[in-house]
Amino acid sequence: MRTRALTLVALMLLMLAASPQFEAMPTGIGAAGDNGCSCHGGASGDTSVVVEGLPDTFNASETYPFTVTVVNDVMELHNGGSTEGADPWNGHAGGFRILTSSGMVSTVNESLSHDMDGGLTHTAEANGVRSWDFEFVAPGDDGKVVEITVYGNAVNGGAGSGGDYWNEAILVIPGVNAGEIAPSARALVVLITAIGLALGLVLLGVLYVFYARSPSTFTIENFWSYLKPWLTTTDHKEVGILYFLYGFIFFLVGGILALLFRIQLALPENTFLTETEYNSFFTLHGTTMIFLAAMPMIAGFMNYVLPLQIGAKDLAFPRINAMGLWLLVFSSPLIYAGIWSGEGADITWVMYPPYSSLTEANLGAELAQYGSNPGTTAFISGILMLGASSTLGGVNFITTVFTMRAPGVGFMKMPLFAWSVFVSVFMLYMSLPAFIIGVAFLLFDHTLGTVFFTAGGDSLLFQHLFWFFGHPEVYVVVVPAFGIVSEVLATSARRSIFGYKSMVFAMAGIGVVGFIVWGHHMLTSGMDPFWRAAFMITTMAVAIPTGAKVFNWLATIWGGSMVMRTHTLWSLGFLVTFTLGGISGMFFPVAGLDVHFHDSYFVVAHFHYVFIGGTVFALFSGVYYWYPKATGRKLNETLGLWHFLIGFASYNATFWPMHALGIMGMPRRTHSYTTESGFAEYNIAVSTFSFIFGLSQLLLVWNIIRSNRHGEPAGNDPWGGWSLEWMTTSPPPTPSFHDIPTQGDMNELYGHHGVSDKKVSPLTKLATPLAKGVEE
Amino acid sequence: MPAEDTVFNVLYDKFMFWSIIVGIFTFGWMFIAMLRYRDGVEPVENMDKYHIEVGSFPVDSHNTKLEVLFYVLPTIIVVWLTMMALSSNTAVWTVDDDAETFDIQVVGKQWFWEFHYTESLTWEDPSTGIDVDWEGSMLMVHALNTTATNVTIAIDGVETDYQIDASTGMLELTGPGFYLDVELHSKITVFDADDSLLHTWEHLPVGTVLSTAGGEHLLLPCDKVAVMNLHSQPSDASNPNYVGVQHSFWLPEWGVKEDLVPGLEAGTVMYAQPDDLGTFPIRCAEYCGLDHSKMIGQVTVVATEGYGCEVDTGVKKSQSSSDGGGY
Repeated sequence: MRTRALTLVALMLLMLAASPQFEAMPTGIGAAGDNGCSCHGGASGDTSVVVEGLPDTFNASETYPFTVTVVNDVMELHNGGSTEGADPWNGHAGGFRILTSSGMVSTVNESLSHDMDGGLTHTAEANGVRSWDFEFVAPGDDGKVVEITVYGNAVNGGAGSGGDYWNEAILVIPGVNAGEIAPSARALVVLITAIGLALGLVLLGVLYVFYARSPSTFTIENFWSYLKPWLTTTDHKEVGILYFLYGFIFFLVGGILALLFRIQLALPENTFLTETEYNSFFTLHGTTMIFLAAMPMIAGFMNYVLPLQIGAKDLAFPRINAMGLWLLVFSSPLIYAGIWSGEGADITWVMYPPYSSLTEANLGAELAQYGSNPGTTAFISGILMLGASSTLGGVNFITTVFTMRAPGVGFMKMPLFAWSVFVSVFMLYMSLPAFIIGVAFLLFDHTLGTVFFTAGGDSLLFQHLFWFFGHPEVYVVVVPAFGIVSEVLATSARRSIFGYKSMVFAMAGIGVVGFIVWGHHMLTSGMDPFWRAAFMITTMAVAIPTGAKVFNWLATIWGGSMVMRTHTLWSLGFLVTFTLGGISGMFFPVAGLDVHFHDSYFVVAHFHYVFIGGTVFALFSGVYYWYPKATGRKLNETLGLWHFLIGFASYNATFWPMHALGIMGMPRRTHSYTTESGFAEYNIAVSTFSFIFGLSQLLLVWNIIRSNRHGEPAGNDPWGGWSLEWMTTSPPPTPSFHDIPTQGDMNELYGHHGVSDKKVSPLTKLATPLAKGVEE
Repeated sequence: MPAEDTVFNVLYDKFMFWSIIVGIFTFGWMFIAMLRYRDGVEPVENMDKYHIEVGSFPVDSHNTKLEVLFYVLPTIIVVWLTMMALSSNTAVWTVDDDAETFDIQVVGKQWFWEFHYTESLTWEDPSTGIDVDWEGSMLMVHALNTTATNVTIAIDGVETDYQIDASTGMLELTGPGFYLDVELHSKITVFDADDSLLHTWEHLPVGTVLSTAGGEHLLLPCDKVAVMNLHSQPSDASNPNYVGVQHSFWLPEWGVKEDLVPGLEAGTVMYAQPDDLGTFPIRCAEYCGLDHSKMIGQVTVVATEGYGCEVDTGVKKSQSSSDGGGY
């Protein structure tokens, strides 16, 4: 059984490895034989390829004659170079293959060569000699840099495959107006430096944290024994911290990408980034922010807080939990792999086929420009791994909530954050299969040449599969934000949340309705009018539970006694921006408005209002709120206040003008715009403020690092919250509770809904001393 | 920016109005609550009942009537907005039976647009003081009291230059050589002595293909509903694996766009009703690869010969919403 399975896997791997190379090769040398022979062995040092006559720089469209000579003094020609006689190997002396990135190369004598796979290869007639005359016609654009690769093969035909000794010569010829460096190099250098710097800073930060613990006993050997437990941990708190830090680092990386293309968009007809760079940067920005930043940061909070809130010692499956984390960690190199080649995935985060399934392998070299970049294959594989990671996380949290609630924590007595996690992972778990099937089929189209979504298949099917996941995904990241804000606002107002049950029903309602709204992303795809109307109504209906939530939050503040801490400010900021994002969201389901707004900057403005103004602001709030629980020290309030003021103001200044750009008619994902379009004024403002917003995040980074050591010590319950996580010490022990706590219920104590006559229930009597016991 | 009289603009204003109402209500409530119920300004009402004790679920703070109201309020607004907007769901995709239409096929390729004319179009610049009159084998250019001096006649790409008779201000050409062949693409341009263009008359026969790759504009007749049939096609048909990619044809001036779906035999359909002369942008809204941002073009609204372009009379687009929208 196992042998059979392994054979099957091996066969599939073989297919994956071999499939792009299956091409008909009637004559000459195929794609696999770019070395100038039919791929016998490796390059030989005895052979050298001499190219004479090409200029140092070229003029546009000019023709340059040149000669290629293959020199090999060691190897003798078969039969002394005789071309007479019956020996079929007579007259086999050499061969060539020439590839040029731009312009055209041809032999002076046309019968010596023919085109193959986007380059020039020799015919049998050219086999007899080791020197040939060529012509290079320069491209019409003298701002380009042309790279000509010449493979030369010295042949001793009689020796069969053993008689091929080849080598290559690569010539880089810039046009007279190409400038010093190719522009494509610069932005990439910036990006790689930034990522390297970020990773270096992370390592330094970790080193500093370790050093600061006890400076006197610090050695570098101790550092590894400090690091190793972190890399192998299965404790929900440590995994949660790793999730959060991972997400936060990618939040910064995604931000750097955004700043790079904001430079590009700042001026009309700008050429700071090439189109390939721009296209892959915004693709990676979107994917990074959703899958590598927002989701891991939320997963961090879920991991850390959820078991504490429901009084569990750990998650149901700690090992699966750690596996989910490391799958996520190792998917990011795949997603970013392409960028090191200068051609990262450029298929947008929605990955619409047929574009994303078109590759050089299934189009051929001449049409390769119409297909996606080479980095796409690894990108799609990385997305599949993310799906696996999220599924594992979903199983884990659903099981934990169902089975591991402490006594007294009934479903309707769970803190709202726990409820939001439950709703969120349930949605994720239900929607992921459609997405993973879509992405797996896309990978088959991309590598194996199946036609699920391309020629003969249905490209709209992928859009349905994607958005069946994609829209619930939006709620997956925003519902936990609701939970955080509910906790923070209630605690800050020093009272219980208003309308607890209606809040739970609202979240559950969003969770259900969220599954039947995906069509509003496809209103302009030629959808049937009935379905347009149906999706419009369901989408509008989402506003009902969301509106109820906003009103309940406001009612919570009303009549409370608000303590204005940094986390309170971020939650209030969330209320403002999320409401604005929600209102602009009402414009999209309406077909008459969507036909203009679809894929415009208005959409970009809207989802940044709900993603940043919703999810990220709530996450910031959560950082300031639960940081004392995780470290035992509070974050600095002054730095926090500045972070909020600068961040909130520059955030609005960055994204508000995008609404206007969308109405004016600026499409999203556009590399540049003309001066006449009139987009320039708004764009320069957007770019300027985006830098301020980006830089303001460094305040949070500094605050997190510094307060870990110098922050004001926090007790068990610094903010006056009621839920079980505040009963245990800060930071909590491992496992998180020595004894499973019991949650009391003040309703029984203070009389509510008919239980008013009972003074104190036996349960509460039991619970109160227990709670104190844990505290001590 | 969509024109004043588009479905988009009328609806947008209504939605904006209600958004502002909702915004004022929500933010007003929020800021008053924030300022009034601060720590040190107002103590928590009924503190001993509502006080927080760690480890115990706090006393429910709720009011069933208010909570129901919190669901009912957004429901009312949502229902109201839906009623207002529901007819737009069909309005932008339908034409009145009695409306005059102009059918045209739009083909998106990587990375340019092609316009295939399935109806012939004859147009002429209105109100330049010059008039081209071509019927049968009689071609007349009336240019009295203008600075016009030269006329270029291009038939199927072959250009011939003529001079306007300065004394009569006219050019008159007759004979079998000047027979108007409706199968051929004919264009008459009138210039002054400095070679600046004064007047254009053009006939586009059925089957004409204009392309933004060659810098040509999409020409649409004024006062007719343009029915655009959209298709995505490959730029190079040599490889059957390559069927083209998704595009989206966007005319911001009319606030309409529709996707081009590769492999969809019948294509998708989009309507626009030009009622002002002028040149407006065309954009590709759906990401389509390397040169997506270069997939732009221009649409020029022209006056059909003999009909001209009427002055606007209110919301033209409203005729397509007779099924109850009321905008």
